[in-house]
Amino acid sequence: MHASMSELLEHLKPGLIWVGTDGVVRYANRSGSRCTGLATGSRIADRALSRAVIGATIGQVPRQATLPLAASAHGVPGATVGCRVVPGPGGDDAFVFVEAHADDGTGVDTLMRALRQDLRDPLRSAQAALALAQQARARADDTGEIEALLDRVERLLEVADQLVELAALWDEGLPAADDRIELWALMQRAWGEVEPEARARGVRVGFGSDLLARTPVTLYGSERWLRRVFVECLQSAVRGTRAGGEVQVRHLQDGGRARVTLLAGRHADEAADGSEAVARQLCRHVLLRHGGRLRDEDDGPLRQRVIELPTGAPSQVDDAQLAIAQAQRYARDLSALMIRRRRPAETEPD
Amino acid sequence: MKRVLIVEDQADIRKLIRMTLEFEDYEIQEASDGASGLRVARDFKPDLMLLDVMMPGELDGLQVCERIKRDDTTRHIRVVLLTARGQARDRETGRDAGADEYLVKPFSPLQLIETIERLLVVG
Repeated sequence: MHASMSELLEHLKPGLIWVGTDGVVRYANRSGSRCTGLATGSRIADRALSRAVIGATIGQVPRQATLPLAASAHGVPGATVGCRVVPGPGGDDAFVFVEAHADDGTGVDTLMRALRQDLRDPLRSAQAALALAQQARARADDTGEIEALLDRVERLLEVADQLVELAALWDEGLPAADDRIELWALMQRAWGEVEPEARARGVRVGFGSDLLARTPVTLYGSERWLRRVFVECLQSAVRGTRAGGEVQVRHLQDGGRARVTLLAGRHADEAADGSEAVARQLCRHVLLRHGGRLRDEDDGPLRQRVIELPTGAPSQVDDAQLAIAQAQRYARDLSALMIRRRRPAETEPD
Repeated sequence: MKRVLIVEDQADIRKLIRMTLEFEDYEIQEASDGASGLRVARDFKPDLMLLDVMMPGELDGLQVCERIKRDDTTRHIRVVLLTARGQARDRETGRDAGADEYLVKPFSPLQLIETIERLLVVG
């Protein structure tokens, strides 16, 4: 690219991605690269953006698209940014103008704030429990405080673990995976991890009969991360429910999307429970990367959490690029097909 | 004339398959998702189905294939799975679902025609 052209594109205030219909980024200016994680020479993986690029190129009309912000560009997992996709000069390309966003550049601040808020209370409570345990050890006549210490340390480690996972996702993104996962089997595996705690707390979990009766619904994505989402959500529901209470889990299939609803009690003080907030962010981030979302709804004393995921096909598969590859293969073999078609006629006796 | 049902959510790929099959003499029908593919299969009673594995909706291609092969009225239908997933484990899953063949996208149209001919002759 000519130096002056590069200079011009680099200093455009909105982020700019110049991309071909093959999905390859021909040029990304610094702002565009920072927002989207796309660099010159890389390939766009976002399905909606691919469609918008191809739509704009074929139709020669501008399109709008929304795409996830790169983890390093924003403090809030799951944040998205709007884009305007306009036909490019080559006829097989488009310019993607990434809208400026208000929180640009504040990612580290936000993360630090989250760390501060989420770790502070569990840390203080563990410190207080530690002091009590030390006193108890000195008396050696009461192990209750030691039990309390262990419980708090366990919770603290849990929050730390969630933060580490979240930070890993933040930094590295979700690894590309299209494991074929049956929803019911996934939930059973997740429940297997949460069941001991539910039993210890005296909380029952009822899985809706609709979920049991249905044909297994299939998801595609990362089995590890989706299981993590269900574990976190079930765990949160169990912890928010009083002893003797029940968490109800329901599945509703809405066309190409599965909606799993967990109806549970509300945490007495969610702000004090650091793990709850971090887990929610972690789940939101994972679900968004799978084309799904997490929704919390209030229902009086109950809390309804809805996990929504596309079923039957992975959300990240780039259909447009696959269709192009198939068309190229077809074009390559077209003459052979025509020869094949003619051959029987040519060899038929008169 | 042999009947072929194409079940594929991507309209462009459906069209390419139809164009390929139109080089031969087949009666062709199409469906764009698993549930409608299953319905059309029961009504149209094709000799062979070209079935995409990953389709949005409640049923993916593997589930459709399982149902086709489980049903006495449709189990004779030859099923060719079409997928972008070509690992040995994926092929094994396809075989477990009862598929007769497995083609990895992007596949050669020649390979597609030859596969169909072979399966229909055997059938």
